[in-house]
Amino acid sequence: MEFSGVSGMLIMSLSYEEFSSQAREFQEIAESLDDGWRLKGASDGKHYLYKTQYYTPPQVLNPCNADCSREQSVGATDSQVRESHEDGQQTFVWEYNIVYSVSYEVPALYFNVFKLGCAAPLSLDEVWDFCRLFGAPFGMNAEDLWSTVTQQEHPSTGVPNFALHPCNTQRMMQHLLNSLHFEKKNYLITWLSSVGPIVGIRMANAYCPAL
Amino acid sequence: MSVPESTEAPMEPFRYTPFSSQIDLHFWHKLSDKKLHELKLCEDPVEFHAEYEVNLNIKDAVACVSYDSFDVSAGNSRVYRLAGKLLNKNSIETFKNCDKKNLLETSMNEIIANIKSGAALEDPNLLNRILLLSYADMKKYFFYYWCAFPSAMLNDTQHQLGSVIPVSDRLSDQNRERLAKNVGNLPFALINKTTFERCPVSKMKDDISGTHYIVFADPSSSETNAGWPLRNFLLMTAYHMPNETSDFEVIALRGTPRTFFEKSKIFSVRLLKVTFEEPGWIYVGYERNEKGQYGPRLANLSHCFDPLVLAQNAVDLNLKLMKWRLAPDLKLKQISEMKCLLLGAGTLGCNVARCLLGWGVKQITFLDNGKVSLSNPARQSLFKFADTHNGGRPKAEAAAAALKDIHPGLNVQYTDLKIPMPGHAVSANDVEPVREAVEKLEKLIEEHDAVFLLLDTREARWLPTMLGARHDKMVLNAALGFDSFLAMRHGTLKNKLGCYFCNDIVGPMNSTKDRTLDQQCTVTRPGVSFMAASFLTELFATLVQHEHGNDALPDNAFNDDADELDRNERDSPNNVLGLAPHQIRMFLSRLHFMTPNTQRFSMCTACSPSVLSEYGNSGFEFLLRAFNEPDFLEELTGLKEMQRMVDDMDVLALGDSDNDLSP
Repeated sequence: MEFSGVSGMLIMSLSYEEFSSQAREFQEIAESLDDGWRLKGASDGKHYLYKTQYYTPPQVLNPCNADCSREQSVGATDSQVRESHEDGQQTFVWEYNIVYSVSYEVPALYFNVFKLGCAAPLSLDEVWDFCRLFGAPFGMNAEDLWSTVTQQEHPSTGVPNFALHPCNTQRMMQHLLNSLHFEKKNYLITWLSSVGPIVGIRMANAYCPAL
Repeated sequence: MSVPESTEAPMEPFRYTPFSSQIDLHFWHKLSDKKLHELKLCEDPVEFHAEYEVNLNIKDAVACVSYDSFDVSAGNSRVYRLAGKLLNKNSIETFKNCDKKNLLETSMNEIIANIKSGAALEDPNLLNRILLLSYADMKKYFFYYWCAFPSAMLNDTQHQLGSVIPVSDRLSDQNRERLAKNVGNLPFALINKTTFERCPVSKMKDDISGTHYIVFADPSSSETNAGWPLRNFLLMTAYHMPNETSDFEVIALRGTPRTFFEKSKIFSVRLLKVTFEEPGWIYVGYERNEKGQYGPRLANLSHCFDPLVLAQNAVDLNLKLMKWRLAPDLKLKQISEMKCLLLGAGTLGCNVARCLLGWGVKQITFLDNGKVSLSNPARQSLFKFADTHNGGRPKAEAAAAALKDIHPGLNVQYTDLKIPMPGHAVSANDVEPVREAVEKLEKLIEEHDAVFLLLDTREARWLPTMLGARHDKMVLNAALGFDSFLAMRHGTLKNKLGCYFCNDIVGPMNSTKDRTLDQQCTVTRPGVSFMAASFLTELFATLVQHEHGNDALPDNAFNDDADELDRNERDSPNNVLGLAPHQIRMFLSRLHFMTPNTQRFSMCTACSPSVLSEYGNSGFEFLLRAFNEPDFLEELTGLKEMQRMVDDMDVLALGDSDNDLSP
């Protein structure tokens, strides 16, 4: 972390080395909590964190637009299965990536949302409905966060993702880290616990070393 | 030590939760790549794998296929693997017509062979396979696919469910810890009921029904069903067990190793011995699609992979940012759906088109009859030097092509057409071409929502002004002076604002300082056209967003007819994009900027009722007279009469001296 004064403003950035070591630290905590985060190596050799999370909303937010062909005969019907989604509940798959932004020297959150069984990601408008839902209990204003959302290709897989643009991260982190009063501060964890909830990332208290 | 509960309880049919395949974007991305660079036209099966977990906390049992699914080495201790074969077909026909039943049977027969030979006792991973049949339409980015998890049905007498109980009813935390430790990462295990030691799976050839638990990693979280992987394991057990019938207790591992699979269930099951020689075995395992039918699925990934769609999305997203960040009430669709007709593809036409692109407008039509000349590319932002070759490419065509290069997703049309003008006499030979030109122009105006007058002469604006008024279109007009510009919208019957010609003839409100700007003058300071084009486009956007649209009154509307105007309808600063002035005039040399409003003029040569009704009655004949007879329009509208009155007044005023009246 760097604290350097630029025209009276504190700049709070994170070097890649710091990001990498904090990501490792984060992943260890995640592993001990079975929280599903994995550390992966991107094609440029840089690390990023990755997690898939399944979520079944209490009510049907988006009816699944079936996009498929006619029934085909493949022999007998399997009478010994009970489909899990026969009650009409749709499960959604959230893919999260935490990558390092070289230009802004901060972590950046990339994500996509899918209906279970559908490969095409939801549109931003559909995702927004979720974020309203997620943000509400925290008094978070989805609009504030979404003002920084953009579309970017995943640095490793090249697949388009939604990304929270890192242009405001430094300012937010300066505010946050200064207001924390415990010794051991993990930039990555502080940041993710601030922006994560609105996209459905819940973080256990055990992530916070001071608690 | 048998199982008293399960033997006493009534038996029920045993049921499974099938896998739900989750084949993600990354996998299809990878497959496209593999198809293009590696597989090409080869249809041979490709090894890959899916993964499943036992701690998803959702009802579905997910078999996940992702970007490392082709990577044999990739692995993770928390997930279990389903090995399998990908059969990627080269055409939709071979995908549709391939014998799916046979595929399933072949795969299941291999599994049965592995059960019989004992290979699956040594490696129970051989029991569960995934088949993925696919066809990748790389042009449309459509992926057709169908997954199968081969199995064979034990009928309801061959296996029956006794009871399902939570693991905590039977095992203490301590024993669960020992269980979790001894099972480790294995998908299947036989665990001693008292010591919790693990024994080789092959020990099922002995009677272990009372002494051992069958343990398996269960991707399902159902209260009543076991997960799919157990199915073939029970088949194997039914084949190898020594007795004709046995009762087993199966621990379905659910939850996490850290909490010693606290959500696990114990299923008691009664199995009848099988030999696979029995008649009537039914093979199953194809996944149902979203409709709940046995059929393939289609993943339409054009909006993820098609660069055209991606570009369109990126443009739209950029605009949405503006909506979210600054103007939440912005109705972007209203703007992007406007069909815009650009009359003139010169400096103004090029620049207006680029501004409209920025607003996400998707349908633009250029009309011009010029060719790109050597001096054009430097100022006219859509043209290049190459467009000037061979006598010059038609401007409308070149501009449309350039726009298409910038944003291929656009619907861009062009028409090479000369707009007939008053004062430009039509010879007898030209009557038909001119009639066609008029019809074409009128049709274009009818088909579009907004007409931009970006022409270089005053008289060329007359016909489209008249037609725009006749069809009640949004007409936006820009004209350039050397260091000044006018950007204006034409009025409507409702807002009573003037058109270009109303204003021109009576002059703008501040007529002493501000003369008309165009006067055929295309010699302008280079930046002026950019300014005019951007002011005009923003005026267009403001107007489209305005609650009264084209009828909007400017904020500083004249008050002469205050009684007739509903004051509440006046523009308020709360409009999404702010004020919608009638005219914007700028004088660069003085950095002077004004937004005058002028009224509709009852004797206007372009939009007055007499002109419109005369065109309605006589149509093209009227136009011919307007084109051919210099004073026709003035006479028709009464302007001439007014001018004569003015002249008479001059005569009276000057009447004192006869000398002054001599020619």
